[in-house]
Amino acid sequence: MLTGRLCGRLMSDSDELLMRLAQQGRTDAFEELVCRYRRPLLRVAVSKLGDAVAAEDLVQETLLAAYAARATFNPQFAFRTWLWTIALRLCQRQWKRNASPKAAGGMIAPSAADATPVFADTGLDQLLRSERSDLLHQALAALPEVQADAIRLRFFGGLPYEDIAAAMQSSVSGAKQRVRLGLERLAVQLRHWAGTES
Amino acid sequence: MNCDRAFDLMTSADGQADPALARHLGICPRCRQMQDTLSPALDWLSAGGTDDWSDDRPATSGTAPLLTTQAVRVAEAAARDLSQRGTPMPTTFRRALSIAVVLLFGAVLGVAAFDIRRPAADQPQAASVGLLTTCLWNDPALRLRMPDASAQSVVASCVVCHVPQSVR
Repeated sequence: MLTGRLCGRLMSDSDELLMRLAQQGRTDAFEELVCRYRRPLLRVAVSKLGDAVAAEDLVQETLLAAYAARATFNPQFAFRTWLWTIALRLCQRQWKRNASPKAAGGMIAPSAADATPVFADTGLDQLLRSERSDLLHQALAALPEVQADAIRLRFFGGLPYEDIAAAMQSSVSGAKQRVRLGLERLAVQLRHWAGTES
Repeated sequence: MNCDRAFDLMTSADGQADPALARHLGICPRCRQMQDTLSPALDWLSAGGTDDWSDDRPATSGTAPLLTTQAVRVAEAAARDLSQRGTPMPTTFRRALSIAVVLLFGAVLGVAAFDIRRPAADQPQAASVGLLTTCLWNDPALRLRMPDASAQSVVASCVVCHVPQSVR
């Protein structure tokens, strides 16, 4: 079901309309929703769980749970808020079960990571980028959970603050505050690792 | 642009290159300071958030249970929570209704404003009609029934009532 083969056929329809169609038994409508949300969900889940395979399973479980519970969803509300709430709760459950997020890949000396973003496609660059990504996820895992989750939803999920607030059951200003405080701590940690802080 | 909007742009992938943000940073030292403080985190997050997750990856490990009853319960609970605390999204009908209510309110307000202005224009005439027929000097109790019992009105009534007689 969740293959993404039918992506784009219903791309002009709103999430809520697609959800109504899915409630009427149109699996292709739900397939379109999968296409829209799978990647951002995956980015957040990888960051939260630190394991790509576990993250993929979790995203699959999130989407299947949304499909299985589609009858309980009221399309007058925002579908994306519902989906992100499910994903976040499942992530938190999984994360607690694992006790601590598993680091993807081996640890490297933090100072070895380049301070500038790397986008080239050579093997070495990919390796460096992967290591930077590991470090970033470790730094996020060291933050208070609500701050890290707010940052993940903002940067990896691409959510507006209103949706972050809804998914995390906070006010919009509270969501911004969580992101700001988290970024400040993260910046201090990353400066320290990069050796730019005295 | 205010500082709140600047923070929104600063912390979004698309917004960081927005010229409006650059202009705001040029004139707002507080936001400039904030961006300097957050820049390592923003740089790393911008780079780290672009991991390529292509759609042809295997969807799952193939070994883990794909869907648990717990997950479905989580989804159902989230739907319930959303209904309990959320405000429904505006549908086309609700939007139309809101517009109609706003227009109606505007019309009522307009009529009310017109009515307020009209008596204001008529007031001197009405007051003068009332005051010209009876003099406050002769009937002080009239003052209690006057719509405007200010000192200015009382003096005006005297002038309106007595000046023509004096002239005569």
